[in-house]
Amino acid sequence: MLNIFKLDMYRILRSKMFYICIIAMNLVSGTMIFFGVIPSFSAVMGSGATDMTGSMMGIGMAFMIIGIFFALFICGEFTTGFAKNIFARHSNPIHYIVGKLLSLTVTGAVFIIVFSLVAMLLLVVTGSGVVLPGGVLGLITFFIEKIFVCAAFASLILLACVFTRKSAVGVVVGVIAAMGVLPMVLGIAGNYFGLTWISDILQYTISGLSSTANLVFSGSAFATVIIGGLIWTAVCTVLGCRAAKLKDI
Amino acid sequence: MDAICTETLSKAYGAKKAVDTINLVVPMGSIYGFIGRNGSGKTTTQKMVCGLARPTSGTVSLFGKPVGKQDVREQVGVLIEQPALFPDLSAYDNLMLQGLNIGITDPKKQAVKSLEMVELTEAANKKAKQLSLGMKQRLGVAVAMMGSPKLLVLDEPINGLDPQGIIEMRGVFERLNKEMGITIFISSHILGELSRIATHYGIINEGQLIKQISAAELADKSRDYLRIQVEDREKASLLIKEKLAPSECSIHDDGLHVFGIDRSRTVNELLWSNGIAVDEIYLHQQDLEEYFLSLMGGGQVA
Repeated sequence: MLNIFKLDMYRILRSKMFYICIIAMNLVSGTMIFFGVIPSFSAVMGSGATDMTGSMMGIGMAFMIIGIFFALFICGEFTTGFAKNIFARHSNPIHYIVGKLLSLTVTGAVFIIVFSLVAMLLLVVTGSGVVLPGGVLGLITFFIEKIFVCAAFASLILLACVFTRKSAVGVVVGVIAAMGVLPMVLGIAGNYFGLTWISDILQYTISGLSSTANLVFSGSAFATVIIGGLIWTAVCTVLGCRAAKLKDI
Repeated sequence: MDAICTETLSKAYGAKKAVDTINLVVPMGSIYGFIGRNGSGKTTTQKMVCGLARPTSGTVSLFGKPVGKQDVREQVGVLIEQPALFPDLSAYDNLMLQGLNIGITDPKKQAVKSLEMVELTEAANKKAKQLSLGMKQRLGVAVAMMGSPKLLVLDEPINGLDPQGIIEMRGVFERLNKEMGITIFISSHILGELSRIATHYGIINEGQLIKQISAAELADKSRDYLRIQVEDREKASLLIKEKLAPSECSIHDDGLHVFGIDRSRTVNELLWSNGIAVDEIYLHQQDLEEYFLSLMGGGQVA
């Protein structure tokens, strides 16, 4: 699995798509900051309730771009046929799934951290200033939470791509998960019919977990995000291995 | 020990049997030409041999071990359907990726060596999408060769190449086989070219392996013979057997087949002097293509 990780990192660093995505996500947030649409760092990072479901221009937007990148990156191996080289060499698909998950999580973490640092810099440059409500510790734990969410997000897209081999499906799954479309619809429907327990369950969806992550550290929120992220990752990994084993290349 | 051995290998897609109880044996150190029409099951068989497709039933062994074993996989290089290359990366980067995929200790050195082997050193920094078809095919073989595998599984690697490209690829395969002792399991539609390099053949039709034959056996079977058209075939046959003692003389729909005599004049004179008029006589030379067609019961190749 380390081989797959190294192979992916080599490919990512040599692909234009990686740099285009970084530029794209920073360009969008930068534009919003310059025009005063996003006045604070909390809004940029979409922490708490404003994340994903509430703030398209927050880190939800970044996740959307990350999702598109993940889907195109994974499916590129199937469309070019390079997956044959990989699966002919590695008899156990867990090497592929875990190796890829590792590289995607690292890449996602780079995207999120670069996005945050650039946003902070732009806020300082535009005179808005950066206020961290939970201090540096809050920011660090927030990053850790987001990285665990990112791993779950990557594993979901990986599952969709390995199962269907279609980048379009991966992109759609990524966008839906990043925007929290499905939980939002279910939440509204639940509230309409008085089924409030649905909202409780929805906080454990990937977008729900991402919304739980906050710039102010909270032990229970931290545990919820980390454990929830791990469960999502584990389930998607097991299903992904199964799909890779059953489907011919 | 054989490089590849399959036992009652089958693959079905729904009700359709793509590969039907194949018992294939590829001897170590051979160049095994795998021949069949389009859709006959060649690629599916090769995919199962590489572990890229799951058999419906039957087994595949490589070097005496099941194909599912990791140590066996490390001895196989593949080029199935098309060169598996990232178009936006350079030839060198594509080789580096394969080097990292298989975890060799010095991928940079191996990548340079592989480029030299397929004579693509000057195109090392060219993007894969900028390479000609022939160069892509050679790069695909170089990718398959990374890590010095003992077995190469190649699916139509010379398709679409111009004559120069075909000659270059032939040189590469001969070098790999003779100098490095690599077993090559190759499918191709270009039978004339395959007959120049293959030491063994397997002929597949509608998912069934209808013949496995060595090049020596094929040469023996397809040896030259005189085909003679006469009115009284029985009489001519007896006369030739009695007077000329050929190694074989048999009666077929298209005439007499006389083996072991290559001078048509001798036969013609004999028959003529015994009052048998010869309508047609010529030396027939059977090649792989004809042998393939005869097994297929006529029709077009691939």
